[in-house]
Amino acid sequence: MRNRKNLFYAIILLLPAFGLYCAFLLYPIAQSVYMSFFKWKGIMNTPMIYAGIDNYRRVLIDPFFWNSMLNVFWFMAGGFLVLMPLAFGLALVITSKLRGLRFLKTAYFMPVIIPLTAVGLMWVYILQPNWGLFNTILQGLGVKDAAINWLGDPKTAIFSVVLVNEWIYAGFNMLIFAAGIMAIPEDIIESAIIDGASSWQRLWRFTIPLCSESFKIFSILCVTGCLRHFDLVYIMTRGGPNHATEMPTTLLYSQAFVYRNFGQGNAIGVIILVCGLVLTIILNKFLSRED
Amino acid sequence: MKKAFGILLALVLLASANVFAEGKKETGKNVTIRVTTRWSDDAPDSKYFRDMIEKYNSLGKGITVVGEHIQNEDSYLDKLRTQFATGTPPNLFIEYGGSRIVDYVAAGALVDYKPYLDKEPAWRDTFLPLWDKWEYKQYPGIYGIPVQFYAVCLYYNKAIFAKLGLNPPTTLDELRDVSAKIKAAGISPFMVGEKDSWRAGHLFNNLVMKSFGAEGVAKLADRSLPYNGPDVVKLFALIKEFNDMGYFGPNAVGVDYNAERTAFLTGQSAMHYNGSWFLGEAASSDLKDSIGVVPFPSINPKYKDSWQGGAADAFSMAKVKDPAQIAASIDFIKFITSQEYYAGREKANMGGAYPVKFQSDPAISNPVNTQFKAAIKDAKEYRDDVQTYDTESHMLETVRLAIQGLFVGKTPQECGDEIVAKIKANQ
Repeated sequence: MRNRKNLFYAIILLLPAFGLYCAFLLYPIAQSVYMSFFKWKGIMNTPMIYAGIDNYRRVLIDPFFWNSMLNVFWFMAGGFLVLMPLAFGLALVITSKLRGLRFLKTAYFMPVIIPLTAVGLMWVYILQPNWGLFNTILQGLGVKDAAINWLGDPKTAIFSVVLVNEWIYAGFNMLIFAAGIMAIPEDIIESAIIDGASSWQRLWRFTIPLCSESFKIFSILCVTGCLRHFDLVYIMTRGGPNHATEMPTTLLYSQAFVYRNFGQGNAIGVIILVCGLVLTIILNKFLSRED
Repeated sequence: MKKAFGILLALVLLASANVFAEGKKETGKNVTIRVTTRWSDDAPDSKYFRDMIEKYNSLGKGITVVGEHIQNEDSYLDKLRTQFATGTPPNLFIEYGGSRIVDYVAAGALVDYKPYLDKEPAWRDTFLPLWDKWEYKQYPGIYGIPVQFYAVCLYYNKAIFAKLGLNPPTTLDELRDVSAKIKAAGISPFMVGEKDSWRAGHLFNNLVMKSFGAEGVAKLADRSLPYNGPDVVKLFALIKEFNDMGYFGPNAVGVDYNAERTAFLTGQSAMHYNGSWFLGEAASSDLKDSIGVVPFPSINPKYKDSWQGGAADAFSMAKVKDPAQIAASIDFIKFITSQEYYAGREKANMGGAYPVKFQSDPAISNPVNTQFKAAIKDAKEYRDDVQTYDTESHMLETVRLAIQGLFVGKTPQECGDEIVAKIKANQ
């Protein structure tokens, strides 16, 4: 009887969250999948015309879509090669016994709490080729050839946005790794010190392996985040110049709101969802280990 | 228990699919309408319009006009399209007609102004015959009230030209020549803000009009003049040539329209092609006594009097359920197309050209406006953005983005091919 009563209260307390989950996640996904099989101009009360898999076909033969997937790869590469070591390094700093830790923690975390629009615009002006701070410094140091059009050159635009992205999210991921480092029992590290392990050995053989859960969380967030990355790219370049920094999400936005192909936009959304699910499953299998 | 829980969850799922309630309806006598424009900047024309909204609201008609203004065209259109998609369009909004609003017209989402204009011929007859972009063969009616007449001309800095002993260019070859000499003197001939892709889009429009005239615009629309054919690729090559020579300023894709205007008005660039909406700003700038206005240089002498221009902005009205809002919108439109409104607008702009017939005040003149009127006096035909006359609504964005590629290394042929590929992909 008591168990039934507890179950009843649990259900009642879960219902609001479940309702929100359905309203803001499950229902939009279902609607997106449904609309991906139709052509619709995005004007309320106009008919949707069934198109079968034509929207998916158009997306998969579009060279800009494959370019956007390449850009996702660059974001992931930046995440694992730049962001991960950077965030882990910052985590090591803030979990050490250095002086001024409170200031360092705040400084490293600051980019995360500044609104993304403001940060994106700030970097657009810093990277402005003619009078931006970055090129002005490079010219002042006598490196005029390096003072290029970072966001206007298709060869450098995507990498510029990727590096800005790592700068923004270093602080957030620093906390993930810091939590993992703090969870390592101190006696394990003390034992390692007693046994004569150097700092590098302690880091490589103890800290990193014992932070594997943090690396797993980071990996999943990185992969899924890169797939659905939109805001920073949209603010900084809008997918330009000439589609050079296009992401699947900016393509989705263009198809839906610029070209008024809502069906095709939804098809891109479904592809992003499927890719995210598949990659998450693969990552989970790859990173899981026997406890 | 489990079965009951399952049923309850299913009910929650269904209920959550209808979480969004209808908007609040107007009650009582007061009616609120939303008017969206791109006039959020400090240009005299924009400020005048915003002031007139305040004035209209103070007239005690029981109508409140809420203005929502976003100057950046991409952002403005993003918001407008989102509003139409979610069924919350503004009552009145600025757009440019033609292919840009054909989807809304086809969907029956816009009010046909014709019955209102026919009911008041005195109001209808104040307008110049500039309805073509808001009339469609397949959809009878008029779907926009033009509120802007414009022509794109070439503004130039007289002081720089005088210092270098140059005359304003009248042909493309002369433009090339003066650009080379201005650049050699260490001054930027132009500063094109191609971060806003409509800037080179407007340049392309002028190159089309001066090369092929209005018939060329029609041929591009019906594809008898292909975008990747040699005639049009030649125009893309011109744009690329000028950019590669540095005549458009360094890193054009890193500069936006605001920076472009500022560069000209502060003497950093010698020339600036822009519409007549720039007249007010030019006439009130520090450079006003040194600004010259001439027609955009000709390419084919046969089309030297063909201009990019005509009726530009127009207010279209979204078809909403509340007839009181439609009546209020019509009343506001009449207010902002009245003789008194245009008289005040002319005063605020210190001149300008407008899509209505009204008695211009001879006392209001400024050198910039006088030169503009002299420049357009021989104009024989006007066409707006080339793609406005296209049947496919994506073409404006498609062409502008493709042209932007010329500034980042794409070849003229690649530019044309990209446009044609996009046309095929959207068929």
